[in-house]
Amino acid sequence: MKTARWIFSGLALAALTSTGCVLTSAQILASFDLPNPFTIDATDNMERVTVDLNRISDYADNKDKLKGLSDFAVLGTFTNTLGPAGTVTVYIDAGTTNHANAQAVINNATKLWGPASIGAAGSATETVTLSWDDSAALLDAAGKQIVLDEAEGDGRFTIYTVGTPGGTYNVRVDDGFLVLVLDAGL
Amino acid sequence: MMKKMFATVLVALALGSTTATAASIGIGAFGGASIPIVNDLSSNGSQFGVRVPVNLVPLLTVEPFFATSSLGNVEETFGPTTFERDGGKNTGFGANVLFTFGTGVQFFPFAGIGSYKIERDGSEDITDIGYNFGLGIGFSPIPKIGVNARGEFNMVTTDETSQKFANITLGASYSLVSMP
Repeated sequence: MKTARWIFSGLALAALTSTGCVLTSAQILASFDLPNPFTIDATDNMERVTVDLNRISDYADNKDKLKGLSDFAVLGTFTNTLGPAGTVTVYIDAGTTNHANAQAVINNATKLWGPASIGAAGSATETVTLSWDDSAALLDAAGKQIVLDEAEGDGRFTIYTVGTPGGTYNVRVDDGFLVLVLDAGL
Repeated sequence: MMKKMFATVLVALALGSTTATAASIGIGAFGGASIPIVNDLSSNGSQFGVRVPVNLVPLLTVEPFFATSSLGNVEETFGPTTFERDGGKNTGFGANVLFTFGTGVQFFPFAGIGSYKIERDGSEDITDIGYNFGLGIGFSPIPKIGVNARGEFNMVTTDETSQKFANITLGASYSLVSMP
């Protein structure tokens, strides 16, 4: 029985010392409403949205206990109302920035999500609503790290939705949401 | 660090089994429910697996296991649209140590360690160490056959946090080798 006690104690000690407070952690769903609707058009090829996670009560309640980001997705309905088939990509900057055009965004910001493909205006695929699974798969690791850093900081960052560079188009985004699953202590 | 700890515990279990007088070796299967705890990414699902109980000395059994859980999808409505997220799959292998009390109907608290992989569509796989704690009750209706029910707390560590599951299973085992 000495062996048994040693093994049991070892397992308990390993669990406690290696996990610390992880025993009291949770995965918490939170969402941020994007402007509804917003449009990406060829005027500047992008749309800028400032995000303040503090507006999300689930985030504000758990901000001081935040440990990680389990999941991230951009959900909404994308409709191409003008022009050929193209893509939509989301970039992120820490804090508040204001780039002049899509090329400045691509050069200076970090890719967060995408590209998501959208069909030509007038085609059967001019309207796209990605599934949650498909959207989560478009998350970029570098952008995710910025979201996490900002979430652990002041909760404020800037995202840019960018269309096909150089294209002539008009993509309307209805009912857009940023959906996050936070790893937080309890 | 975690891999070293996992290896150390497995070696300890192996050493324990070689230095003790083996009494019996069996094989068993189990199935039941897997319930995510404070986890908005998954809902209730099912769990199945196999176990190899090795009874070393009276009161003590080491039990390597393989288990896989299919967790339920999560549905949420954003705006006018309801979206569904894959609940994922939790697969693990490792070993539990059971401390058996009673004759006839037996009660056994247990603890264990394993390597777990959590997979979800659209996300990177998570592979990490997990710990199990629980309580079981079992009896042998006929020679060589045992049946049991268990409640288990499974915690898979993921960096500074963890994903936790409550597993409730029914199982049956067959004694392959029995030595005096």
